[in-house]
Amino acid sequence: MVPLRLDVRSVKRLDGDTIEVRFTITNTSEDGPTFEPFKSLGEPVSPKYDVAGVALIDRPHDKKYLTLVGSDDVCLCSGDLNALDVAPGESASMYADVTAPPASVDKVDLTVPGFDPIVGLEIR
Amino acid sequence: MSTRRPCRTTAALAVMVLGTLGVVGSPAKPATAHGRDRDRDRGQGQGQGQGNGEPRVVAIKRRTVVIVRRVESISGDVRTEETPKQVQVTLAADVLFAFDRADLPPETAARIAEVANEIEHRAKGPVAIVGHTDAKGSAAYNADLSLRRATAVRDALAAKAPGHRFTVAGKGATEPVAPNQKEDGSDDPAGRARNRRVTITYARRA
Repeated sequence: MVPLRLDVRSVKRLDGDTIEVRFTITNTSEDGPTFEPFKSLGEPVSPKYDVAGVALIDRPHDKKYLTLVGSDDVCLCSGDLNALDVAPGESASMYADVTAPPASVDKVDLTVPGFDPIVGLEIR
Repeated sequence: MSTRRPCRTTAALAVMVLGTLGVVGSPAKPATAHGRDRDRDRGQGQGQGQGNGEPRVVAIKRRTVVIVRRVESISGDVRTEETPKQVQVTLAADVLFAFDRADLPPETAARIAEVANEIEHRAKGPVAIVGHTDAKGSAAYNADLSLRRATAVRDALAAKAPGHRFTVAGKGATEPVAPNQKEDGSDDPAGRARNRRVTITYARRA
């Protein structure tokens, strides 16, 4: 088990329809194993080598906003994670474009597979 | 490695993705990537930075796609997928129907009403309702069960959105959205649950 830290850099409304989430995953071990994310950050069903498993949750309205995908079934998010190693002490910065909640929603929870949810993030 | 964001060429219809080879990394301390070997194979040429955390363009891949926006209920029993022209609502059959049944219990009324309201306000043209099952059971039984379930949903929606035309179909287990079995051949209950569903598809009003 690789000790990891998740830091959210921004949750930003790009337009009325899209939220961009930027975050960093840091391998906090000093001389332990390398973090190789492969499919661990993908969607639970049929995961790919991307971070499509990222989602924003609006609990008061019972909504879970998922990553945008193209009609080619490719996520609008960081991908090619099969080519990534995060060595001890190093970080990897990633992004995911997510379906936006209505403009009236200004706080959401962030879920990233493998991490505890981050609650009450303000959308900027 | 650096992350490259897609640049939309129109408001929501098309994207161009730049530099999707090795898309993650830390500017201050780049992560080690297997992709580095590929970078070396491609040379350290034009458009690349000179290290020290400077972003480098290692490849350019372009694609033009229609963006699909997806929203679920937190439990996952209702999923909506929207493109600029079409809406598809997927209802998990497990929250609509009892095992092997095709009658809608009263507690599903709120979900049905919510979908009907959306159809009333947003649908243009016919509304297609399609039932699906998992892969357990015979093909004939699954085709029949999925059609009966789609018909039950049609009847409930038509009662609340009478001005719309509906079509129904039962696809049985022929169009799975998740594996019915795990890679080792064992049963995949979560995948089968996702496959048991009813979809409601319609064109969006302009």
